[in-house]
Amino acid sequence: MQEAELINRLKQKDEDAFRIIFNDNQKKILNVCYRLVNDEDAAQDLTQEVFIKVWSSINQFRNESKLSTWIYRIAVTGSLDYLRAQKRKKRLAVFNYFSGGGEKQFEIKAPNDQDPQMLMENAERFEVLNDALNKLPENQRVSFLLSKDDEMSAKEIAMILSTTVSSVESLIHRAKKNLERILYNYYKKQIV
Amino acid sequence: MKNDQKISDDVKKTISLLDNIKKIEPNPFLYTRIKEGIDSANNKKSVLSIDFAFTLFKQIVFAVLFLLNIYSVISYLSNGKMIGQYRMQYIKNVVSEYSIKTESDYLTNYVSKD
Repeated sequence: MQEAELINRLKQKDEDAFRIIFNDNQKKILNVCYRLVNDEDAAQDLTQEVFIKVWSSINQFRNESKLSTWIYRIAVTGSLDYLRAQKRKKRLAVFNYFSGGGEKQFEIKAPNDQDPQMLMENAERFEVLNDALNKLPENQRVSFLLSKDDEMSAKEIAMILSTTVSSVESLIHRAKKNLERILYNYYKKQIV
Repeated sequence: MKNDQKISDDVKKTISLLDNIKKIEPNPFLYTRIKEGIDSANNKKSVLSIDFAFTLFKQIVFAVLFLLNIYSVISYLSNGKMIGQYRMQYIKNVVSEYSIKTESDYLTNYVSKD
């Protein structure tokens, strides 16, 4: 089925069309959210929100990009909103601690298919990496993380972030340099 | 020099972790959850639209009552003025009909005041 036809059917609230779009995009969207938020449960919830928004806001889609790009854009925006909310929660964590409350904080998870020593080492590295990533400007972090997805080209990232390919390439380059600098300083401090 | 090499290795190893982030699989009930979400959003929407209609109705009733009040006040005031004018005309008619011309007359004074 042609994309235009699919979009038209979705605009008429056709559930079959929605199901096709969901099946085509769910895994990619889930993994984009996961890459950005580093929390599997949150990524599942965000993916759910993304598709609810696709259903309810399809009439706002102006055919200026591919449907998948529009859906990615919703996913990236949703993930960034989630991270901002987590940051706010983190700032309030100290109050929660003193008031005896406190919710589960955002944490990066290391892959668990390795031996315990490796797992521990990687968990530490992930924590360091997460801190370093959080120190990057948001547009650099998003571009860099999306570029790590094998299925996403610079052109696609540029369309998702509503910018140019050269700008994305520059953001990725600067993100990598900044990340290396932050990590270098961190490990240098550890040695001294 | 040795330290620098170790730091560079650590940096490379740490960054390379991003290349090995595992792909995750969607929850098998994800579509069902989305459908539930859409249905509950639709229900919320219809409840919201009823609420909105009721609020709109209340505002319209309030506006109509307010306009009616203003109209009543205006018409009362203008009626009062009209009654005054009719009374004046009546007095003038009586004065002219009975040829009352006394300066000290209450009626004439009353008329001349207006």
